[in-house]
Amino acid sequence: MLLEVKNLCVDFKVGKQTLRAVNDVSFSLGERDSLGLVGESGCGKSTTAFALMRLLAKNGRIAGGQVLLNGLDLASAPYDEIRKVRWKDIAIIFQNAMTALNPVQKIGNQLVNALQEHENVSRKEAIERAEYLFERVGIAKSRLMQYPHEFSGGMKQRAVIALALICKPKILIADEPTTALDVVAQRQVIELLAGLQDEFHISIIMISHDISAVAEACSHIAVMYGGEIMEMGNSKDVLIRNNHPYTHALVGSFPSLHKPLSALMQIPGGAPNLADMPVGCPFSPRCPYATDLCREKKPPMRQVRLGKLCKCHYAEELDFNRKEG
Amino acid sequence: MRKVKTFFRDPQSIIGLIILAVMLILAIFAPVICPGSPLFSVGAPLQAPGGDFLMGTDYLGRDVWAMLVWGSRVSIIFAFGASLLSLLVGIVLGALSGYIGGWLDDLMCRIFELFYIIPRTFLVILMVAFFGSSIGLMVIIVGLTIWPSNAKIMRAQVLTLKRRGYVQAADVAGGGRLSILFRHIVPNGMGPVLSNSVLQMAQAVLTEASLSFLGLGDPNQASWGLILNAGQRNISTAPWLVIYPGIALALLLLAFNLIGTALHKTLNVKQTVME
Amino acid sequence: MSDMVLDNLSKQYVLKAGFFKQLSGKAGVVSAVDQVSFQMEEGEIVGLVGESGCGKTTLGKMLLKIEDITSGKAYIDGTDIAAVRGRKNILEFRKKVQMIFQDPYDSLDPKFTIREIVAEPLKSLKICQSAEEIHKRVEDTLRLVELTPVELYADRYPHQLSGGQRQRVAIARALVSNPEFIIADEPVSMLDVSLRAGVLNLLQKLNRERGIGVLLITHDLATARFLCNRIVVMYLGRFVEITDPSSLVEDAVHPYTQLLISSAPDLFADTSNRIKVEGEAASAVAPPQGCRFYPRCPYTRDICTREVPQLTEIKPRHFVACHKTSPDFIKAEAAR
Repeated sequence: MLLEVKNLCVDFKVGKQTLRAVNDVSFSLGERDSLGLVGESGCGKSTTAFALMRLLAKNGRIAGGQVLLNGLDLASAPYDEIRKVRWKDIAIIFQNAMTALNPVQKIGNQLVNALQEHENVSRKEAIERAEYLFERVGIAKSRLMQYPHEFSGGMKQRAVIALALICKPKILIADEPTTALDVVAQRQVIELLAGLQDEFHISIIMISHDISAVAEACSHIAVMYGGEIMEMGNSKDVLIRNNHPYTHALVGSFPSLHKPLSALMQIPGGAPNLADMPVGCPFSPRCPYATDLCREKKPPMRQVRLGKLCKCHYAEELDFNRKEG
Repeated sequence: MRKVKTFFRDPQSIIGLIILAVMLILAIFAPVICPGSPLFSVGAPLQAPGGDFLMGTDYLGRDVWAMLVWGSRVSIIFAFGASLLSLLVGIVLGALSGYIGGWLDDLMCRIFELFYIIPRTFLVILMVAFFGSSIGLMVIIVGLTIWPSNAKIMRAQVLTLKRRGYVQAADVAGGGRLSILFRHIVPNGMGPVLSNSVLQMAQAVLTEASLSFLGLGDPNQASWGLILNAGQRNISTAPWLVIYPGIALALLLLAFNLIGTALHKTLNVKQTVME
Repeated sequence: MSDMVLDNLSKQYVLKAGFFKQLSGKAGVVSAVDQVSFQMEEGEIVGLVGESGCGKTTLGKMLLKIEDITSGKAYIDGTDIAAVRGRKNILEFRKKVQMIFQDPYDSLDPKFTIREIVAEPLKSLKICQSAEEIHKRVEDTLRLVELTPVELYADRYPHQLSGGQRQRVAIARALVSNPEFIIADEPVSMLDVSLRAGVLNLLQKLNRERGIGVLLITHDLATARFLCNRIVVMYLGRFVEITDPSSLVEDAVHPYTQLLISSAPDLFADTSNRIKVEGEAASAVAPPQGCRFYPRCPYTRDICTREVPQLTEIKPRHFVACHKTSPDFIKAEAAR
């Protein structure tokens, strides 16, 4: 395994309270794997990703667990070690491409500087590599020495991807890479990520609230809710043959272009409040199938079938698809 | 409400508020604490502190403590009067300038700048020379010279806030332009203006003290500047004449600065947001 | 109830020379909305779909009189909206046409309580005089948007509510004046997925029960398909296809609509033979001559670069603006 996350917990101090934003999250990522972390705002998906790179805000800290990258525990490693790993081994693309690019520096120079920071290469070599990456992400290399404002939103996002890949990282974390983009540009980015994976042998962790985008970009999906992974497995297996009521509701609340028109599923209640989490299953207050057992006892993560993990007491019994027939 | 809490928990604002509260008590209860006019001679001139008089007497035999207590009135009136006036003028002119925009905005900005570059003390001296030095007039003059910074801040606030969704929503809901400006935009932009105007209170107090020190203050009012003015001729033999009012002035300025910066912190700093 | 007619409606912005001049090579005019015509019937929900910068929001703002109309006419209920002038007439107009904004975190004044926010149109539009009447009407409307129990929410401030609840407040504010027509600009795009369905279902319910006409501005075809009676696809300021949602996926004719359908990520779609994406989205600053989509279109012919294709009805209730549907074009293609 390239990356192994074991029982990761992240706490945030807000005032006098300590809130657990990520609770006991475990997953592993092999070479050329792609994992999508999906969930709604506040579910802990971005926090998980930031914790992997030790990019948590000042009031946050890793409260437990391990993040093993080739045997090095990123959760406890000294900061100097982390700095070496960042960008060289793990690179990240932020949600907002506009903030990742320096507006007063030519994009090409930003790529070259990032590479020269980590590797001992001449400027000429660095430019060659930047040009190659530009063409690879679908931007003419003649535009390398332009400023960010001369690019459209989709192009900026692709330039940021090129910037993330300049040091040939092994893992690429993409935080909502498609959210700010139009449909067509979104698709280009998704296709690009999939293509790059084959060419550069990178593993991808993609964070998004858009399950259909993640389903296209990633082979595996982990659905998060209230800081925990609720269901994890092969993308289609999670999203179409779901075992968790939350996954089911999430999929059902998305209007689709291809499904026959039917009423959209509505999840009652609001997002979970981290300061006041239920004792039992975090989804139990909103779950239509919840019983006393769910409200009192946290369900363990268990395998419901080969390659499919689910955190629900009734994972096998609830067969939504049959019921709706 | 969380902001109110953080403000009152901040040690800076607590210290500032305590000092200010003491000054306010002195100002309000001056007739009780030191009955009679502080400007009458009550004892031998230039007595050292500690004897009959807590803070000694000046060259005319006036009680320094009584003058200090009564003088706090003048300082407080100046602080609140001038900054309130500056707040009103600054908010209205700044808000209109930012909201209406166009040539009017250009014109107003030049006027703000004009007021910036006029040497304030000089202007006040000029006005006092023309109209005499009554305390009310001086409050108005000081208030009318320090408003441009409030106006500039409010204008900047309006420029960003007028693009907000709720402003457009108020338009679609049928609100008139002035009502949108003063009900939706100005209240949401008050934070930085308020903290600035607390800092301006310090400015106003200092201006009054300097004027009185120069002998341009209201001669019928005991003020800290007046004590300093009276004390300067005996500074080597009776240093308490300048030390006590100096300390009072420094404390009040400190209080305003502490409250102002604390206010600035609580009102303007964005809360850190998780995720 | 009212209908809405757009007749060659256009909006142009004149750019300041300088900064953009360097970018595009010439200073000029942005044609944000270019001669669009459309008729919306009573009580219809129409989806206006397009990518960012296509002019859909500008069009919505013109219909609300937030933006001026450059040329052409827009009629709501038979009244030319450009002719609505004077405070009294504008208030009358605002009673009829209301708007739901995109971002519920931005569109509610943080210093007002929910009750005050919803009461504002009643006061500003002078609909209710007495305090009791306002009180009752506000609470009725909050109940209508399912913010119940009303007592629990009415006196809270926006920051105490979730995104979905905030958007319900925004809907309540738009509804309280009893409008005949609502323009909803991306009403769910800022909301969490699980809360979107609730807001969309609510809009549908209001339309069905009260016959309020809704113009839904969105970038998401799937949302429009779910909610709307008709879908208008817009590209760089022009309407390129108007169709029924039921036949949208199967019968889309315009290459741009086809590209959108093919590109939308969808769990249930076959992604194996997608239409290839060509080129970058053109900008409204210097739009292409002829058909504005031709630089990205796989079917481009000479005529597309010269002539602007007109919206033509190729089937009942199905309009397309594409040269490849014209008889001449088909004949020419067959001859090749």
